[in-house]
Amino acid sequence: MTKGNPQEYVKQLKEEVNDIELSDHELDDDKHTELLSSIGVNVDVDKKHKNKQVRTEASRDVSVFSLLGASGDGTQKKVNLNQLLKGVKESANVNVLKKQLSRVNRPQRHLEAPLPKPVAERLQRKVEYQKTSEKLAKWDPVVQSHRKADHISFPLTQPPLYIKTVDKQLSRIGKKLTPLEEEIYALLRGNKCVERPDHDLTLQEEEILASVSLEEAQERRAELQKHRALMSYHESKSKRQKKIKSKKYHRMLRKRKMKEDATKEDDDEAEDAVKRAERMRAEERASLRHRTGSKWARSRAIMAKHDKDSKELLNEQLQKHRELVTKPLPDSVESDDGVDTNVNANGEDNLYSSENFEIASSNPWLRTNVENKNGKQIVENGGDPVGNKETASDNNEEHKMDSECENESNLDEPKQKLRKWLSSEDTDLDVSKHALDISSSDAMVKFKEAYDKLQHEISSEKKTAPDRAENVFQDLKEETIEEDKEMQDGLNEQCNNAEYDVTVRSQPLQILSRSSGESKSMKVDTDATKSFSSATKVSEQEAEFVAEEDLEMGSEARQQMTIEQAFADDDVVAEFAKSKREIVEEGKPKVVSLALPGWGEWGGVGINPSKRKRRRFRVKPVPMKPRLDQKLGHVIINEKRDVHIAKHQVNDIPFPYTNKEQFERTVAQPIGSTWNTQSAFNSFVKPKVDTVMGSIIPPMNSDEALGELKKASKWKEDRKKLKRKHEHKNKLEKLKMFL
Amino acid sequence: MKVKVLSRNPDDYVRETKRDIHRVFRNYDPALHPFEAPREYTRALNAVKLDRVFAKPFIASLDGHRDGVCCMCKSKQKLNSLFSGSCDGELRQWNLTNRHCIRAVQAHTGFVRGLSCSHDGRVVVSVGDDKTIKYWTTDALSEDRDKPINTIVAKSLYTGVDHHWSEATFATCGQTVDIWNDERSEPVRSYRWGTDSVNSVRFNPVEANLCISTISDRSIVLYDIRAAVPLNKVVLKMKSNVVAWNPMEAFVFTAANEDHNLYTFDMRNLNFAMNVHTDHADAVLDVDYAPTGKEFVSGSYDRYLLSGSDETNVRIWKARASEKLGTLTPREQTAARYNLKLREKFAYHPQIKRISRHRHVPKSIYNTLKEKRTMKEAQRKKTQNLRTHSKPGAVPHVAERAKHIVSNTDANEANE
Repeated sequence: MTKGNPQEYVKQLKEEVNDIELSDHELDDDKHTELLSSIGVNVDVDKKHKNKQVRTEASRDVSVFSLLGASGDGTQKKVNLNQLLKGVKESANVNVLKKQLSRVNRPQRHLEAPLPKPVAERLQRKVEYQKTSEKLAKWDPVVQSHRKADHISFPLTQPPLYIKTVDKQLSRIGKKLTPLEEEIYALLRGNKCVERPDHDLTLQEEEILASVSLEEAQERRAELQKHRALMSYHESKSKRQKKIKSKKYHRMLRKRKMKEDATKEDDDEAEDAVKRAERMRAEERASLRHRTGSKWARSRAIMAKHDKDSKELLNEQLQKHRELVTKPLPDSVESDDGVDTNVNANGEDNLYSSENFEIASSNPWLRTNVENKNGKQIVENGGDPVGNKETASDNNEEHKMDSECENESNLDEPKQKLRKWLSSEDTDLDVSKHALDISSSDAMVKFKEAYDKLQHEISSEKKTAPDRAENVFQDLKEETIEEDKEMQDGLNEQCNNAEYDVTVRSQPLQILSRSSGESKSMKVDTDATKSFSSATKVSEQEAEFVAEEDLEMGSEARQQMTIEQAFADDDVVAEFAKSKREIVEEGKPKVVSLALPGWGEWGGVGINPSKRKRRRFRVKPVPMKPRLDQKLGHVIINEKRDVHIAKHQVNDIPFPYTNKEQFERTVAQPIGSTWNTQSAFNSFVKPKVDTVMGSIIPPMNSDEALGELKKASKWKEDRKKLKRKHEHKNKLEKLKMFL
Repeated sequence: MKVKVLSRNPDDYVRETKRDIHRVFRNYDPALHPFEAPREYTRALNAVKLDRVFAKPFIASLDGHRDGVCCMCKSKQKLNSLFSGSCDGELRQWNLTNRHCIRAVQAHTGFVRGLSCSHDGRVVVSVGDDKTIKYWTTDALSEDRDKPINTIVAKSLYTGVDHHWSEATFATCGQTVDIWNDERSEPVRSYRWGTDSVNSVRFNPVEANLCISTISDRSIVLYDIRAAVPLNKVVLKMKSNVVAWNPMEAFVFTAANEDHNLYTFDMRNLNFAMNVHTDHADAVLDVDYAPTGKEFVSGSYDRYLLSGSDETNVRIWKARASEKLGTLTPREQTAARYNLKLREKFAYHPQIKRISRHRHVPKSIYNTLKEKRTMKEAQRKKTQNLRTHSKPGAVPHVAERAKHIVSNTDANEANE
């Protein structure tokens, strides 16, 4: 700011001391005064004019709407008219003015002018409408439930059905009873069997309930039942046993029974007897005292020609020898094992046969058993020309395994025994204990540990078995592919054959080592990759090429290449071509083989029709018309669409359904009684709205409809009551049954 | 030698008497009953065809009136009682069971404009062109059956009457909507909103104090007879002839409109209709709900349904044209239900849809409907074109349900 006229400037400052800041307008004024002074005009004169216009107020906060007086403490107070009047000088008019003012100050007596009629009505309408709308909301739940209901039956409230009881009948007012009625009533009056309205049970029923507790009756009944069941089991068992024709079995049974009886009589005595018998047997076997070797016997043998008695005596002695020598009681476990191994000539049981053999070599009584078994196995192998090769290989592997097992058996013999026991699942723990002839308690503890461990192992082994089976199945499949590549139908049959083989040889599969299986499958994989289409080969080559180049190129170029690689798959054209190729392939007619196994040759499981036959019955496809889109590279024309069927098909998904599957499922689900049970059918065809013929359907009644909720709660209560009653009745029924 | 044979208990498969039907054993193995969907589809097709074949809706005609029938009313307490009033002022009572006219009374000079039966079924009220309201007994055998119980001479012409559903109160309409009590000769209350005459009035069967009327100025007005003023009003593009309340849903009513459509409203939201029922070829003259509230019947100049009448007789129609009358054997009933369900299930399949929609209608109606369809399509196309060639948002999408509503008082008041 220029200081052209400092005095003036000071004056101006004084004038505007109340203003906090200078406005632009005022700045303009300054400039203006400067300009005037520079011209030579007396600014003071103008300033005076200006001064007149300026109004200063005692208070800073002046409002247009109210007068506020400043009180001493700075707070503001409303100014009254009377206060203002104090300043007015006494004059003739003052009194009049005061009167007028006092009238103004008095409260208003008259009412406000009413609203114009249309406005008032509008307001009224609005209020009424709102009220009604709110009231109507109470119908919402009822209406919604009715709209959603699958089935409604009208009229909504049907008269309640109840049975007339005697008491109710009698309470008819002013009705005289007929003699018959009186008689009936007299009969029923004091009767214990009459239903009482306020009780769930009749008097008689209550008495019964009080007399016997249900638990007792139940116990008694259970005991009886058990007894009866045992009886029937025993009966059926003996019947079954009686039917078995095997003499051996009956002999064994008899002996077992004898033993049981003996054990029943006295354990110690029986033990002694057994020991004694064993000892006697051993002595006999060692000395062969009762055989023909002795001097007496020899002499008797010579005499036998002439003397009948001596012959009898000799026979007697031989008989005695036989008695003494025969094993007194057949060991059940050993016999079981023998049977098992005989049945399963190969497989896991063979695993342990070598170990068995070792035992057998030391025990002459088991030797024959083992020999028999081996012989049988050989016969079986000879009789199976198809699986010969495989079984041979299996046998090789078995031998390998056997050797391993032998090693194992050396390390931990009881373990082996246990394994043997566990593999035959139906044996009992007691039996196994018996077989292991455990002598010390220490051994017992070890046994338990080993038992747990082994069971775990075996369960895991069983789990892995299917995997192995799969591997081998694949191998076999691949083999067949290589063998018979030229014929498609043949392939399928081979596959089936292979599958069959696998199922037959499920036991040897367990023996196959895992590693060998894996290696084979690997081989198969490589084969498969070789037989891929040429296109993929090319792509692979490219990939390799890229990989080689990658090393040479810089990072930028490499990045570009990676992008290219990343989007290499999004070849839309190629994809389309591929899908089209697939569709075309699918539509092509296939070779059909009508060869049936068993016609003119041997049939049965695992036997395929001969090659000649397969060729003979192969039906060559009739060449189709060329496809419409054959020459159009970018188009797939659907030739399957049937115009006649399309006429019946739905084009768009109808309203309530959101997707195709949903709709199709609904349509596919039959509702007819041909496919559904009668009850289901009835529920399916139940109409949505049901009316009772000849009845007036009254409009919804607020008491009834809105009381539905209440009724529902009452209904719940009733149901509870009914349930309780039902329980009581049930209890009574049970009790009656038990008694 | 023991020979094993199959042995069966004859009781399982032999009929007890000759009249019994043979027991059929069923195996529900799905493998034995293949092609479920196609077989059911064929059955549905047959069902829908049979439905059309047996569509014979006409039951009977009640002859007797010498002039066109103007109005009708059912008794609220008797199923077989019907009253009809004709243009020559005759009132007839019918027994629907044997289709006889029980009595005929010359009730008014000029038209009988409205008839209404009281909630207890004892009194019928008629209004006529002679500006009188007359009470009649419903007992056709009483001595004073030819004379009205009571006659009220009114100041203006009445066009309709309807009874309260639970009280001895009724409403008439004409210049105003008047609420009457049976015991008084003056209206208890009268409502007037606007200057135009009121065409019809109907009480709400559920919320019995609500009633609704249609007015010549294209509006539908709601009343509560306990309030001093009407509640609300909705103005449609064209005049509504009659309104019917849904007897099961307290707040729902359907209006029969001159623009060939029917509009169903929720009375709490009058900004748009709940539903628009189209397909009439001319103005809809009357509408009434079935007592189940699930369906309604509408009458128009183009088609007469249920008990419509334009000539001198009243006709009775079946609600379901192909339904068999009389008692049905259980097998018939099951078959009918199954057929109905099949029709519902396959309703969306084009062939079934086509057959079930097919009607032989008079040529004029057929042509009118066709014309209407063409017009509608043209209109739709035009709007679409307009929309595509103008600024986005300039031609808004208006729902069909809101399109026909000109104004609702709430909106008006907001503007004022």
